[in-house]
Amino acid sequence: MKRLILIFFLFIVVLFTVIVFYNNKLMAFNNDRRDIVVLKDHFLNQINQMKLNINDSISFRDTSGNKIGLSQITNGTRLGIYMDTYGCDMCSKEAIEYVRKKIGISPTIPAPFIIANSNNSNPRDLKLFSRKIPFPLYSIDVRLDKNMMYLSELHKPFYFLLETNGTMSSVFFAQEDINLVFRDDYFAKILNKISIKDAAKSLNIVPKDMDLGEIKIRKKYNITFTIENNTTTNCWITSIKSYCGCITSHKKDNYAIAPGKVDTVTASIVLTDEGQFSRQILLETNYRKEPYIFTVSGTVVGQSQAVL
Amino acid sequence: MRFIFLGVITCLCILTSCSSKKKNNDLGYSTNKEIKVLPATKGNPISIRVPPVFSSMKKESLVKDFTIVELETTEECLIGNIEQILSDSSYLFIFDRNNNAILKFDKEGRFLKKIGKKGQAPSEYINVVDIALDKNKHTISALDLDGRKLITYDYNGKVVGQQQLRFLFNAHRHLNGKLVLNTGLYTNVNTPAVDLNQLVIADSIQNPLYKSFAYGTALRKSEFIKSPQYPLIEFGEGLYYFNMLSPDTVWKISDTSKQPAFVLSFQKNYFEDLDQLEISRALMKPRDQVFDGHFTLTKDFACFGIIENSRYVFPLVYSKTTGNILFGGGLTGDYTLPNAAPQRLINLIGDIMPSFAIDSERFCKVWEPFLLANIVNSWDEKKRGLLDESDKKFVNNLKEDNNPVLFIYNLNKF
Repeated sequence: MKRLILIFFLFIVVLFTVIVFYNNKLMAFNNDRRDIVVLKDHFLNQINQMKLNINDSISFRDTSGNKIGLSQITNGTRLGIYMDTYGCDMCSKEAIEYVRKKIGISPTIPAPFIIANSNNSNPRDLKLFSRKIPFPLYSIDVRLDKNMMYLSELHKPFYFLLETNGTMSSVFFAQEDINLVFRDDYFAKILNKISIKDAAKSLNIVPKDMDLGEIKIRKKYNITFTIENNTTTNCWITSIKSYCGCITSHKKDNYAIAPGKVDTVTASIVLTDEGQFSRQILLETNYRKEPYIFTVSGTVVGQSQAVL
Repeated sequence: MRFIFLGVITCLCILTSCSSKKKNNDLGYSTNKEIKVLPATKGNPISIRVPPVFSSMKKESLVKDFTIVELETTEECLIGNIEQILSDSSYLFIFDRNNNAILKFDKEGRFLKKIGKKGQAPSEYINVVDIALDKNKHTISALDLDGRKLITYDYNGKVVGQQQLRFLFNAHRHLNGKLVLNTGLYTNVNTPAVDLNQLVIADSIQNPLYKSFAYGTALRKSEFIKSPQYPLIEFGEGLYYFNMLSPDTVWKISDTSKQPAFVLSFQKNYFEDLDQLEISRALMKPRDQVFDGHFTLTKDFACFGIIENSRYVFPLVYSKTTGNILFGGGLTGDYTLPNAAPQRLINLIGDIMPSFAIDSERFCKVWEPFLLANIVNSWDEKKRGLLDESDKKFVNNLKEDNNPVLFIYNLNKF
């Protein structure tokens, strides 16, 4: 009898744990019913079925207030993060930080983008925030799109996939107050969709190295090289740096190069020791984890009489 | 014999190496008794009876001397949020907590310079939590809790002093050459001289002179109580203090005594005959009306934030000269009349809850430009047409991503 009671008690505990574990794990938007449903199982299969269309009239603006077209943002399928600064600012930042760690720097996955509701977000805050993240940030007026309006009223951050034709799919709300085990599964599922198949196409540094020949000591020389974006997405140059204090880049960090575009970087070098030298400029991008390296070499000659 | 001798020596070493006594703290005080308790004087507190039902304030002519200060916006001085504004005769010092920066503006809102620098060097700060002005010495001090130091700058940003924190506090003010420190509920067990007291008055190098607002150890474990955001408010020569353990009283602090300055009484007295722990629990329960701890004072008026039904904060404005009270959701006026006179922006918005007092005469309300734009855009043409010409120009030129604007105003007698 005692054993039976014990087994029954254990069964209740296990059942309770399973219910708690699977219940309310994630929410997704059901387009047909126009309400939020809780998916308890097989959610990965259901994610693909949920599709919304972003209204054509909705316009994206960057943090400087410039209008950006949908095609400029997506160019294929891109991962987006909706940031809600009104409801839970920290949840949004956590959601973005997770993506940054998970897929932020990858050679095959285009950089995700962030959207914020322009009605309840302080544009100055967005501008300041965009300086800290390697992803582009856009604001949209959610009132212009019914679907976005419904989603934004939940005041929670969510992930989604956006295509150039405005189709929004795989909407995923990661609730902050529960275990987020499903988030990894979600990303495992969607990463295949947004991966770039033509990984051979990439960023190119032209030229990869430069021989300055003989240069004078303590004289400033300019170095110029180009970055060609041969990919199909915007590539963000998150930093241009050198471990040598003798090199100064004239470009600011954290800017984007549109697909197919070429950007020119100018830096200056001043050397104070005679002899042969070889210095490197490192370009960190959101395109791959390892920095791109541009090498400049030459020989320093002459006395310390040159003027800066 | 040799082993016995060695054994005895070893035992002696072990016994003398450990001591159950606590080391004296670095202040040189070993017990709480050696620092005097700040004497409380009875004073003549102003008792304010909070009205039972809030009403809107139908006072079109309440606001006077209204000016708008637009803080200059550049890449260097883009403000995250305004945590504190301190003003001296010709400067405004703004503490931007989001960006961990202290910015100096002139009274017209022109950006002058950044004060201090982030970093690990002795004269640099890691994370500022509070700033205070010493108007006699023309210095500004920044409390860096992460770096455990108090850095003093002159008004030009030059470091003129730096001292390590001798115990923990989260707010400080200068008063007659002394430091008034809000130790709040910080654990200062290594300095038992000041531990378990919420307020300490110290000399200029943090040697405690008086302690006050003692609390029991049980409260420290309580999850229900927090320090208020702005425990110390300066006004003119006076310094005012509020803590959650006397939730309806604002104290006036001098360098040798304390006295109640304002006592708010509500329809129900929630805290009568309660001990500290019970008060801390009672603070978490929903009440009809609560003082939220945010108060602002000028020469003639006192303004308190009152939370109604655990939701909205409404201003309660008390006139010191007449003893009258205004308490309500905002200013209202009959602007629908056919020949209504042009109105200043603050009257049409109707929100007079101040953020700070900019000087002894005037209140200051911080507005985000995007919020102002949202409010004005929600008005109909008729209401927008009522705007005073200068304010109309301001509204038309408003840029939503600019730095906050300051509404500076005084109130008419009521």
